[in-house]
Amino acid sequence: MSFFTLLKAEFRALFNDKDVLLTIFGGVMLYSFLYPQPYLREAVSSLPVAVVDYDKSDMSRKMVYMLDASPQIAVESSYLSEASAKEAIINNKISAMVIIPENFKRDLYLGHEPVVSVGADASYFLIYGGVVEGTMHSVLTQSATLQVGELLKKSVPLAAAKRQYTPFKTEYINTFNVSGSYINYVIPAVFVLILQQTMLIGMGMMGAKQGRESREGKRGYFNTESVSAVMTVRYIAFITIFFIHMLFFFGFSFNFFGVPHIAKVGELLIYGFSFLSAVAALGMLLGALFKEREYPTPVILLSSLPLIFSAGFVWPLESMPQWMIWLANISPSTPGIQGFLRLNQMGASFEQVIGQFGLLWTQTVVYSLLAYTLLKQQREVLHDVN
Amino acid sequence: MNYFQKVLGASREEIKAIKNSWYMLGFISWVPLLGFGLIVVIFLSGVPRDLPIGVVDHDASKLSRMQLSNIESSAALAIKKQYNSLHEASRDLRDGTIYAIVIVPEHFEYDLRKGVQPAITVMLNTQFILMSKILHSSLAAVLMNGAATIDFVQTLVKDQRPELAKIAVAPIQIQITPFFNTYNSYFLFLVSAMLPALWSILVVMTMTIAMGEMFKRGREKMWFQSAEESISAAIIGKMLPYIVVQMLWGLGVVYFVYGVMPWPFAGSWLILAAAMFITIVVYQFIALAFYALKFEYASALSLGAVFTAPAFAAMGITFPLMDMGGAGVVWHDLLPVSHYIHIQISQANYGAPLSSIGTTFAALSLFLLVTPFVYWRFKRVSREWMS
Repeated sequence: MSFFTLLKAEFRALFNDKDVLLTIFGGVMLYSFLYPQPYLREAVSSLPVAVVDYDKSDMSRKMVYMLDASPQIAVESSYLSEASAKEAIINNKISAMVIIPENFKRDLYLGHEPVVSVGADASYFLIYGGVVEGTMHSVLTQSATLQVGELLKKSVPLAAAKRQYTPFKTEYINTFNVSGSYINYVIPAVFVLILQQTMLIGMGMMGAKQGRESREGKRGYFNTESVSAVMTVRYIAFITIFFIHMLFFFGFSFNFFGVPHIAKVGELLIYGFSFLSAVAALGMLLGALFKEREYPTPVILLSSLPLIFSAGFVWPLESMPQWMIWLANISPSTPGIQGFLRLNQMGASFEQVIGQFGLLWTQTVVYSLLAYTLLKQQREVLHDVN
Repeated sequence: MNYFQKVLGASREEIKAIKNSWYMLGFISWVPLLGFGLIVVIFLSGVPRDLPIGVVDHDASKLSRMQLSNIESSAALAIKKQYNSLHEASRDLRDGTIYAIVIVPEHFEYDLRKGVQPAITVMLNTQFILMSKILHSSLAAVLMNGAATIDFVQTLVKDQRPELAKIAVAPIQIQITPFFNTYNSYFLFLVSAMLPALWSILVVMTMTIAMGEMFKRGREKMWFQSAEESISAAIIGKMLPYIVVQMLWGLGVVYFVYGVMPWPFAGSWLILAAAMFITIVVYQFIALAFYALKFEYASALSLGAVFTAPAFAAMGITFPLMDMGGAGVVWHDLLPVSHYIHIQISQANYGAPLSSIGTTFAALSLFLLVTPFVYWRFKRVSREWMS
């Protein structure tokens, strides 16, 4: 069989298997639109917060006004007691409550440092974070205004007073995901995992199916042609299809959902090709390992959650046990996600991801050799049986 | 033979099948254990410590070093390296060696003494949102404290009266209490939702595998006969062993989070168990409905996978439901585990009464609407087995 006939046979086998097609085309396309849906609004805003004002003075009203002015918070002033506010939190009507104590104004003038208490639902961290940020900012701003007022009373000029309320300022600059958008955070990493998992399932199913057919005595290109030739055409077929998927994800989807991408195109493609090679090698190995075509889907599906959370972008690698990091590095998605994020979101140079790049090629070589040995062995067993 | 005995007959047949298959046995034993175990191990530290940050100290004075040693003493932060220039530091920020850069300006101490108010700049890697949030709040606390100390000392020097000096520093105090997750633990927040998400995937996959392996071995006739040819009894009997197993796993993981780990469980375990039971049954019927569409094992697996895989994203735990877009909300509502997790939080965290989660229970039960379809399809194919 010539090489091109073989390649055609591989593509034919692929396009004749509708379950493989459903996964490697249907799954990929569906997720590229579905997965970003929850995050489309990007960040939390106007969280409903109850303010229970026990003071009801002009000072406390000013506090309420300042709270309402912060973008994260929308004040609900209809709650009159802590108890009713807490019940509203339990019923998910509001996310937090702010209590302005009695004698707030009087204590302020007497210099007794009144305490504004904030109670926020920490069951949902983004909500909790938003509330804390918003209330802290408002209270500190009012605190600062009061300090400036005090300094003015001591006849310090306004400009100097504004400078003096705190001896030094801290300015925070967001880098890489400047808006702090959730979509920019999740999508660039999850898309890499989607590419890997769908490709592994597709290759796993095909390999397992052909292995089974060989054992049942069926003859086809997958057992008449040499192992290395079969592996080569499978790599070409799957890497080609997923290279197009990858271009679609990084090109179209990123633009569609407004995700920034700053890598040099050439570097991104080289890195992408290396990632797909490693996945293809692992897919080849899994295809040889799985005995039934129904095994890959559940097994690979279940690995998704541990894989995404051990890749180091949600949870710091520094906080994971070392053996867990080694375990995670078995999967191409780990160096894949790390490299793509560094190149495309954080603007690292190619030398800076050389470690991950090297790991991808190590995986490619090791998994290819293992797959080759295993397939060769399976052939020999078959040969002996026949 | 009464109906109950027919159900048990089918269950017995299923248990026999499980015993004879290492694959099915694995899927109810070590596979879930491994999945849950890995997630627990990843997040076990609960709160990240010693996150590496870089420092560019252009001043190198006593006061600038004081700020840096404050940073070093914070549990969440660790100064990985001091850089001579921002250029060098930002290189390491780009490849993730450090998560933030703290820049102390030139003449920091000089300006402080002259009252010119210098500014410390912090560059955060906000690509990693969770890490940058932890860094932001830890650095803000440390640096605000540092500023207050300097302020206190300065005022004290001028006024000679410590109680007055203290007042000037912070006229309004703020006290923040995290409700329901007192220690602000990410373990509790993420793992308590992630384990049920994984669990829901397991429920669907196991049911599909149970049905698929049976058809693959051509044992459907035996199954049908074990329930005296009652299709509903056969289906329920097949579900039953898995309901028991998944209840154990479900209660096991929630018990692990709230019983073994030191988090309080405020509400009723009975309500939680009820929610868990309905969730299992509902997911099993959904898995059966996927199967009944074409009676093809691999397609049923693919549909089940597509349906359950993104459970964690759409649950509304990491990204809140109230800020999701329209399609996001629809998707959230279409996943039974989203409703389950709200009941779990209502019980574990709020200790809410049953009345306040009645609608969530109703929403969960609504998925049972697929049962007639499952019954009708299985009834139809069962005629073929018998003819």
